[in-house]
Amino acid sequence: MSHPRNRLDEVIHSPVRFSVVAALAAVDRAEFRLVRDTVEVSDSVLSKQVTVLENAGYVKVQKFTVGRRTRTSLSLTREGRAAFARHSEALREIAAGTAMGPEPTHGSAD
Amino acid sequence: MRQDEALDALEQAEALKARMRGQGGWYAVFGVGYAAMSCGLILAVGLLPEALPWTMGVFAVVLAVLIAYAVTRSAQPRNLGALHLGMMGAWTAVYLVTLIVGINVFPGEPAWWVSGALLSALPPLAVAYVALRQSRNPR
Repeated sequence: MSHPRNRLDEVIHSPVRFSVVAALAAVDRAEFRLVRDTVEVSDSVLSKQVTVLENAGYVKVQKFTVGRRTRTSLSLTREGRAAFARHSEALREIAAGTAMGPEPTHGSAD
Repeated sequence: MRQDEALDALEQAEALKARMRGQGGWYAVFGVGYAAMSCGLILAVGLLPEALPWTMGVFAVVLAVLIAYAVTRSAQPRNLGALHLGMMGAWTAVYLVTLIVGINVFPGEPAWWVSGALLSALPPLAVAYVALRQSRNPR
């Protein structure tokens, strides 16, 4: 049995991206500004991290018009939800201390 | 990653998810508004048929307000599509049965139209309850 840290998703593991994916996991879709305020990052930071998630196929970005305003909505793709579920499961195993083998002191998967 | 870091990450994720779920509570407001509109519409159609043009105008305005309210919300709760589709299907069935049977068999009969109006409010009130529970669920 491999150590659960080996199953942590490299894309989601980054703190901001993890927060974005966790926030989006609770809804079908959310507006960019709501995610920005919930995760407490700037527009540019969120934009950069969303691009990484979008390129990984985890997040879908849609632009739509309401009245005269253009809004950007974010949603997790099916792959994104599955990756977050796997990542969370690995975290739960690490948190529960059910990991097999010694935990290295350096070079963890972060 | 250490055990305590994993625990922190999981707790942070749950806190973020709870905050986002809270943003979906608007659908409960939508459900209650739709229920009220449905009651009013059926009562007006059944018991005030002479005011039908005026009633339909009010119905159209209220519906437009509800739609505008829904599309300007910043988050869609989980499974909103299925929830809304189920609600609309049940509501349409109750609405059509109430109208078709009421107009042909019970014209102007308050017992029928009040019962139908209250029954038509049940699907939107049910989804309002589901949305409220989802939005307040910490996990």
